[in-house]
Amino acid sequence: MTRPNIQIDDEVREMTEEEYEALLASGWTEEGTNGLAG
Amino acid sequence: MAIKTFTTGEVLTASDTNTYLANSGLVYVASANVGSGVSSVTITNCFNTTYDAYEVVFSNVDGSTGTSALILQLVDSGGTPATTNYKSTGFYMTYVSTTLNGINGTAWEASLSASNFGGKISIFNPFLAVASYYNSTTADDTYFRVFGGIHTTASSYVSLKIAPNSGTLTGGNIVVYGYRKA
Repeated sequence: MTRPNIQIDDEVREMTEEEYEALLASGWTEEGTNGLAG
Repeated sequence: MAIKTFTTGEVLTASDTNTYLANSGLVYVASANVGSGVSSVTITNCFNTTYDAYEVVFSNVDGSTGTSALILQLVDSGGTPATTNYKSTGFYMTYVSTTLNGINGTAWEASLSASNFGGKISIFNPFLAVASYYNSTTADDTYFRVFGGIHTTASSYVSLKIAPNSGTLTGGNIVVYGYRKA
């Protein structure tokens, strides 16, 4: 599966595997529900 | 020279002009044009000793889903985002109900729309080695939200990471301004 891109200032690159694992661990979903207002 | 009153016929000198150009209350610090389909945007070195208070302004940013929110994280000088010790609370309403809903959480959160999101978030003390605060009054395509929060870690942060809690961001820009202190 292609990992999402991240942007630092104007540079856009694909996430590293480590960054992707951290993103998933944070609760991020590819398409999900609103974490604020449920 | 914070304030000077000019009189009729007085010569406006280069010195005065330059002083007042530099004396605007809100000063541009950094920005990013948001790329296509990015899961986060980090604006580096946008916090520094010159300013203690900042405005982060979003214009025309699209979220890939209409039901996501923005998460803000402070980033240290080594490039590591702080992921803990955030607290936030606030309330929200929808456009189709007058019910006021309270909410609290462990992240700094704000609105995001599926298309053309615009809004403003205030951040205080990020560069100082003390607790930092944020507040926001934002609206998206579903909700109007008023939030405030604290990050209790007494450390200095230089950068800001902005990410949707689901999906990605595309387009628009994010600009950081600092409040001139004197």
